[in-house]
Amino acid sequence: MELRHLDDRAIQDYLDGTGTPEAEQHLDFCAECRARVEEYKLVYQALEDDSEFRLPYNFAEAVMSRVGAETVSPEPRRIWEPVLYIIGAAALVWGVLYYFGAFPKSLPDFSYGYGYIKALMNFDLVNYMANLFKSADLNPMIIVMTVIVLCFYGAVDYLYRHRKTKPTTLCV
Amino acid sequence: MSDGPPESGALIDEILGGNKAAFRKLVEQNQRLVSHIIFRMVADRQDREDLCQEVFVRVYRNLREFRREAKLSTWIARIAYNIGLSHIKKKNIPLVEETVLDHVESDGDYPRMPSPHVDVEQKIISGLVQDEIERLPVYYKTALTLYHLDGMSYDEIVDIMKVPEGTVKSYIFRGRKMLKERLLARYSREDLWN
Repeated sequence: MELRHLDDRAIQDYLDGTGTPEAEQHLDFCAECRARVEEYKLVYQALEDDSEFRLPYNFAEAVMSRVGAETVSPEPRRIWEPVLYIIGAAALVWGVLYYFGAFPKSLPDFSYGYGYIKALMNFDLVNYMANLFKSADLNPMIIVMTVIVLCFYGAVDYLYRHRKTKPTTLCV
Repeated sequence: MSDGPPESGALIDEILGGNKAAFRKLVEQNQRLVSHIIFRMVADRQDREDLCQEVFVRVYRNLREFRREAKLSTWIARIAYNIGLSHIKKKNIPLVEETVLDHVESDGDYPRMPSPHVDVEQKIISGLVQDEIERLPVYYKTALTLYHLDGMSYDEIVDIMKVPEGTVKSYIFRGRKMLKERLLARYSREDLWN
């Protein structure tokens, strides 16, 4: 028979139904530990009391009115989505500033860095793309603007899908 | 992690198919769970209701992302917990440090209830313990709520709070011990049983 009093952990285990047989035996003869068990029982009872947690009777209706016009997200959110939209937004800002002449009409000279890449790849990408556009009779600006518009649309769509809706007032 | 009941799978399929009545059923089935978590974490009455609504709006929008190997209620509880936590952080409400609480415990600044042998009714004690639960660190009271009110297992609480099992057990053990000590700081043992 266990003579030492039960500690807090042993008492909690007993009340959780995971106590040892020794603890149960001890409680049979130890009034002091039984009193401590009763103290803990008061705490357990209070923890299981949810009478204060009442939502209004029309809570479900309020939720339904908030989701009323919405549809479930059509596809899982992709982790790279926000990154793409940030690039799109930056490209849009750049495009507007470029259009209004805030930037010089020619792009910065990247030839120094590009020389390394060209040598590394053994391929002149810029020249290749320029020839491609030329042969297809395409203005590169049209492509750039299309990408910007698509990215902008994506950003607006993202913000719309993750917007906060106004809570519906409830009557209790 | 245990599997969700088969009927929740069918319910999800119906909601994803555009059945709003099915979603309403989901709300009714889980609003008690959500209210337990949010009401315990957030003190402001109006904020509580708004946040409970926000939880279900988030559930609705992201339902397609729910991986069905988890229980639906655990997933919803995790959303509620995260919304409660970010609300607390946004409002700059301190997530009271344990050391502060330990200090408070030993301060002895709890007024002892008057006259010994007073008839302390169960209702009063329960109210007192409820007040003390409010004062617990948010992590403690959330773990205690999920365990005691919603009957969740340690595994499920781990999944919701994203902390190791040992930490969850420690939150629950220490939370109960604090509550018991604070109860005894207000009432002597004789007061409680006379």
